[in-house]
Amino acid sequence: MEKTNKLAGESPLSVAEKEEIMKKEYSPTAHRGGLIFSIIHILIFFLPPLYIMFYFNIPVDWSAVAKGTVAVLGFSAPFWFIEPISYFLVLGIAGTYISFLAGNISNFRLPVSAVAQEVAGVREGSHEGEIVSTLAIVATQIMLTLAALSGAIFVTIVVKFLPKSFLAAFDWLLPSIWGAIVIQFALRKWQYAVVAILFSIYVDVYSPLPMWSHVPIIVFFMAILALKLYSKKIWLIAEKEAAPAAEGAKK
Amino acid sequence: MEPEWLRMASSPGMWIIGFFFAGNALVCSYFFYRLAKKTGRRMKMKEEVMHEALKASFITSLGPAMGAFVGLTVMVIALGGAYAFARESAAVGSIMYELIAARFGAEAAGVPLTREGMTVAALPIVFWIGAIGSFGWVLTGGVFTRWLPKLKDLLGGGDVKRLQIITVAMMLGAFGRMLTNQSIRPLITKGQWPAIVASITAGIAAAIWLKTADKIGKPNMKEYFLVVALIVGMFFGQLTRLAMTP
Repeated sequence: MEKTNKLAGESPLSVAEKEEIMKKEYSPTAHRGGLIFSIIHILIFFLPPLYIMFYFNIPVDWSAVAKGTVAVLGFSAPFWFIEPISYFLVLGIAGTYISFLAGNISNFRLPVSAVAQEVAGVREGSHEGEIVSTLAIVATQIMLTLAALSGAIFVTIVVKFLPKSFLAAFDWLLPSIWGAIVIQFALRKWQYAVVAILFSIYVDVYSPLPMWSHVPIIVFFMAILALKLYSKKIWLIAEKEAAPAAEGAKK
Repeated sequence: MEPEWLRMASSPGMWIIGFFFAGNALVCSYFFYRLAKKTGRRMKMKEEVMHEALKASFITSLGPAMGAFVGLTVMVIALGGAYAFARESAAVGSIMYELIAARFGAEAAGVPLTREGMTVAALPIVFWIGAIGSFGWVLTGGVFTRWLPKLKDLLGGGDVKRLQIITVAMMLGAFGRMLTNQSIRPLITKGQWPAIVASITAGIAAAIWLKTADKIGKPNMKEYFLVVALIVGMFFGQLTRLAMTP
């Protein structure tokens, strides 16, 4: 098989042409749409309590709400800022808008987006990666809606018929996802996987750092390390053969 | 008999609100789907590549969707099917967050988060806390995403290979931390083996599957790798738990 510098899913256009399309056509529309849908969604977020208050005429104890708010913000607010920055490079612009509007990011969107980019043969962080990631995130939203709807309606009935040990196996779903995805990326450059896990063990298990700071500290440590090593031409990713994902689709 | 608070939380109005949540996310997704397809065509990306990416995503989604389906059980029991549908389909999606927020809300209202303990008065408090604690994700995503490409430009400096290695390193950092937190930490601090066995066996299955796909020249096989890895990991994780349970 002939080796080329282009990956299977890459666009034949020049970098400048792609940049032009993304900056002038794609990004403005994506940002405008993303902002509008996000604002609508924020309003929808508050419908459940408003509905209970006004439709059923239930008064609310605002001091209790304030007390609970302080507790919940301490837990969630740092992640509002950390997660979009940490996950943007894989999710892309549109993927970030959909993901932060509809949730299920680390357990659902990121792995699916990463697999789709691998299958399509595009570089993570590239313009083609943005397109493929968007398609992947759209697919996750459809699957998630179906799972949530069917789950909400049928889960209590179905659960009665499933053996307990089968359901208990889902306790290992997330550990399995992390193991598989770490290996997927480790196959690109295993040295980074070793460093990431060793540094994560130090930060997560042995350091006194607060839990909310772990992801940004590790992610930015890895980014700086990669930046430094790339400039010294150490631990580079070998060019893949242009294994045609698209041609494979025809088989 | 169904408690009064659960009757309200599962009322038709709440189901309609659930469909607002899911509907807005689906319309938003459709908007971006069209934009991505149009832009992909403008960039002369192969139709097959985009089709394959979409197909791979649906297949890969099966495992996590099953996880969401099972995780939803807890939320349905705790807060009713309609609210669970709304929040799981298009809000935070993390069962852990939802339960923690609901517990904070119930505690603030002075009631336990149980079917019998929850009250009508506590219900809007629980819902307010759930909404306030999570709307910021949508706000920061909606407002700040337009500036995130600048971060990408800064890191990549116009060099696609540099950007790729940085992305790979960053993702290994994010997933490495999750692996550590859920699998390595329980082993180090409590001597618990099932999670790490699940991670390692899923990882081995993923490596074999991906390498085989490359070796035999069938890249399409890769779209099944996560599903296969999850089945292998969950099987061995559960087997380890059963073997270690006296």
